[in-house]
Amino acid sequence: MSAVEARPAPPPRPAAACGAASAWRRRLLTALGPLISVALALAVGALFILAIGERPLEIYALMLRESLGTGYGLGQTLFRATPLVFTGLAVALGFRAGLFNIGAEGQLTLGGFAAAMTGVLLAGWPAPLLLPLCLIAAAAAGGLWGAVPGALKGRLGAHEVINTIMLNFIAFALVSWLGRFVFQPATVRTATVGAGAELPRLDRVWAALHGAPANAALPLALLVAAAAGVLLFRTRRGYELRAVGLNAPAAEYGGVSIGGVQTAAMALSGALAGLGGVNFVLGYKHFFEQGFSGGAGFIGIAVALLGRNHPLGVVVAALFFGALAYGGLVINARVPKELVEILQALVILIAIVVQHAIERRVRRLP
Amino acid sequence: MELLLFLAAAIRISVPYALAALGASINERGGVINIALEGMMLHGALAYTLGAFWTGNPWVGVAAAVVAGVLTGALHALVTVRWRADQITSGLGINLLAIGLTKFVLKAVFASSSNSSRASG
Repeated sequence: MSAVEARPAPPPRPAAACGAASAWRRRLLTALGPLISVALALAVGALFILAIGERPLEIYALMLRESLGTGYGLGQTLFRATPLVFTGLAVALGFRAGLFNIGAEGQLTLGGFAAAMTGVLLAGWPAPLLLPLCLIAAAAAGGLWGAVPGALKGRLGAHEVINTIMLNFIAFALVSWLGRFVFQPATVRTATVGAGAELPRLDRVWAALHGAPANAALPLALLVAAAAGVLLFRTRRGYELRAVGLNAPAAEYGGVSIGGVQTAAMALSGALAGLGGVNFVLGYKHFFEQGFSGGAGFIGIAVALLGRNHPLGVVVAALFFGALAYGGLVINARVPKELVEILQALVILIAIVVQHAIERRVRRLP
Repeated sequence: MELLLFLAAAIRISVPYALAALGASINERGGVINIALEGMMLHGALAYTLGAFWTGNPWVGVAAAVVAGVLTGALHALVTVRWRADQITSGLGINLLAIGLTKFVLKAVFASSSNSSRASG
């Protein structure tokens, strides 16, 4: 058999060697984009810190030390990063299909509400039944809220950006209205879920995080990220999804139903965002509270952008924004914590410009 | 009388909608999607408050609001037209920026993230 396989190696072609080298330069440039964006955003943010009469390096060092340097701080960072992994994946999946899901905030809110109501109504059920049901409820509620604009886009061509923005408002109003029947008297929170619906805290197995609210939603988020990676890059469905995102008419020519993929992609995107609601509801407070999301749905857009719509990138970017969110609370006594919101916005604005510039440069590579 | 009050209130409340929609229409005509309206209005409101508060003259506040809106629009234009980045993402970024920036400035100037002191006008 070796006689057949041992063919003489083809002579090395200069063009191929050149291609490999530029592939590496391409990868390097692409990886550099998010780092440059973050550095520039921090530099502009430093001007705000200076304007308020504080020293930027000291403030940034304090944020870094408190959000990653201590076990409790790390636990707080991980807790804040968890929903961002879900919403970042949600937005990234949409982007990959060529769709912009701005509705993650509403999908997350409904997901949290559905998980809480399931946990309250079936409070006596044992954990092996109740917990999966609550997770399914969260994903289903978010998925439904994503499928609506997905189907409107896929079947009628209605713009998903407008529809997801509007469905956010409907989601908030819907929860407010349903809350009139289910919220505890004179509050904006539901009753507490049954013990079987609670996600255990991570400090049970990772003592260093003691007291921090990081919980089992984080490993769930990492699992989901891995699954999203497999779906996107190792399955036919994922290939179809990316094909529609890259060039919809070409995908259709190849036999892919554009509308079907768009509907499915938005439903899945919504389900991911909805699942993000369990971090707070099942893992921390054990009830739904209005406004619990803290803008995680919108920050998911920044996470997806910085993570370049790749599950691994999304996880890293979520950690960064999680650290930023907790770091903001730490510095609040010296610099208003709204600095963090400014930094988040700056990252978005700078990242889209930097990545656009880099893509142009990459295309010019040999 | 009741009806008259209702109509007066409706007209008063419709002013910001009408102005924002007018701004959006101008953008659409120019081929740029403007999701940043919310941020422009927030910046305008803050600029009015600062202008009117510091000078005591509401017209200075109005002028400051116009300038703030122009600057925010210029940022959107810089990112999307000059640097050709995505228009919707830029608009969202500007809205988030405005939410953070207005609260940041309110805290720095009035020591509150939700209210300014009373401005004239």
